[in-house]
Amino acid sequence: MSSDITLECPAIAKMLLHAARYPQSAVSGIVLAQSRGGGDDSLNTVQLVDAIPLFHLHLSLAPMLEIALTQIEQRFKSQGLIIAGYYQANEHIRDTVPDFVALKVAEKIAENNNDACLIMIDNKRLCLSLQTAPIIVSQLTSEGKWKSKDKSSIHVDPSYLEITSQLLQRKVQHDVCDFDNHLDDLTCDWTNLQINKLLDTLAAASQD
Amino acid sequence: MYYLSSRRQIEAKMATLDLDWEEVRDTLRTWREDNTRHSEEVVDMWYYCLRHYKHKLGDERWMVEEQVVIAGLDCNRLDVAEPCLVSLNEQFPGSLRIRKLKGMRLEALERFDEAMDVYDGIIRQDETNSSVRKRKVAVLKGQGRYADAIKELTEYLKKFMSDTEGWQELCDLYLKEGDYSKAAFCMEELILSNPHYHLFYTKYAEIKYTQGGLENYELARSYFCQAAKLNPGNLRALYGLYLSCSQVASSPKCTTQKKKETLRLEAWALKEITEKYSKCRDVDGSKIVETFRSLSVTDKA
Repeated sequence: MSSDITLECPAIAKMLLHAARYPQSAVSGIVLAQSRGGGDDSLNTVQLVDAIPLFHLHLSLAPMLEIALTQIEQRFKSQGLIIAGYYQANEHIRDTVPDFVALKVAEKIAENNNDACLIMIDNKRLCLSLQTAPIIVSQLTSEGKWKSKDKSSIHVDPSYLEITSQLLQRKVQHDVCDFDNHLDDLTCDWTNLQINKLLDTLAAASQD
Repeated sequence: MYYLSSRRQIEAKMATLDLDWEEVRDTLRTWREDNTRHSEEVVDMWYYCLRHYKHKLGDERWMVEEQVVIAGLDCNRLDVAEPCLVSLNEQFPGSLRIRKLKGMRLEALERFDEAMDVYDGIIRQDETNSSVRKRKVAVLKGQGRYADAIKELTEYLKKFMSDTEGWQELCDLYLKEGDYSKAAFCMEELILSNPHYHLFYTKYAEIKYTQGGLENYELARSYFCQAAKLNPGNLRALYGLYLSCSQVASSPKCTTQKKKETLRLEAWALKEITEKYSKCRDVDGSKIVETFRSLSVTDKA
């Protein structure tokens, strides 16, 4: 368990866009981090660099989840990225409690990665003008329980929230592809490269 | 009939205020007939265009206004939904159909107990009203009372046992609770009454696979197979077939003969999947095959 978690723009933006695209369903996805390699345990921060939207239908069914996780691992291995956590937005607006699906998947991820994060999206705080990141991040304690981290340990640059808000206002969530979309139409890109490019452009613009 | 299909098209048109009210009317009609959910678009199309032409809609006006009420409540646009509800109420005073909409408005305002009273009142006047009984399930879901929603829906299905939508909803509620065997039972009912619908076979197979164990993997394999037969384009069925074959073949209880057959089926599924990806020029199919090679190696890890 590490002390601090940072979320880069693609991670926070794509997660929230995915949730916004399907307001009537629960959604789930994976977050990626740079692989540490070589026992660099001196760094006490986890940096989540990207998010991969998975499902908005039947989150509790195993086969497609297995396919997705394997493909994600393979796809990002060469870029030095690993699966670092799982996010879920529950169907009910006020429900932020991880259900048995969230716990199971997060535990599976934690088997290979001690710092695995379980992120629950706080639906009530998702809005068009984000002041804070509407997420609750948990990690495994040494006793094997998921404990939610203090808000002060979660770092999201305010400019990323500004960019995400702009995208939500422009209804860009309708362009986000998840794995469910991909299974229905192979041309749907679940890595959402187009959105990453858009985020890069907006981030560069905001720095000018 | 011109059908505005893509969201971007609609937005582009609206941006230039180049909306043909007849196109909008036709699109809304198609969505009503298909019973599909496009709440945001319906609200925008009404608000930016069709409400200025409502007097031109004739009798269709009331169905459109009902559609707008439901869409408005879905998106928390009560400013759009309420005026339509008022005109509907003036046009059809005392109507049970309009009263149901009033109940839905209460649901949107999270006044769940009042909504429940409205629905109970309608049912007392009309016992055969199935959609209002289903609204009661929706209220329980809205309150987060999933166990009660399941109970209510189970009672409903005892009376209205051929309601496909009801069985699908019950399946999803059971899945949410992690009760895979009861969810599977719901899918069995659906397959019995819709024996040619590949998606029901796929979902049943996915549930069986999730339950695990050799018997369930074998069942999953058969049902994924049937789904792929009914619709060769069903990628979930092909992936599922590949996975369930791997599981069956690697089980210690699998006989040598069965293993041979299963591995042949597994290879066929993989071939079909690779072919689908290679036909799709935007996607790199070679990586997918790599993935599967690694799957079959690390499967029993």
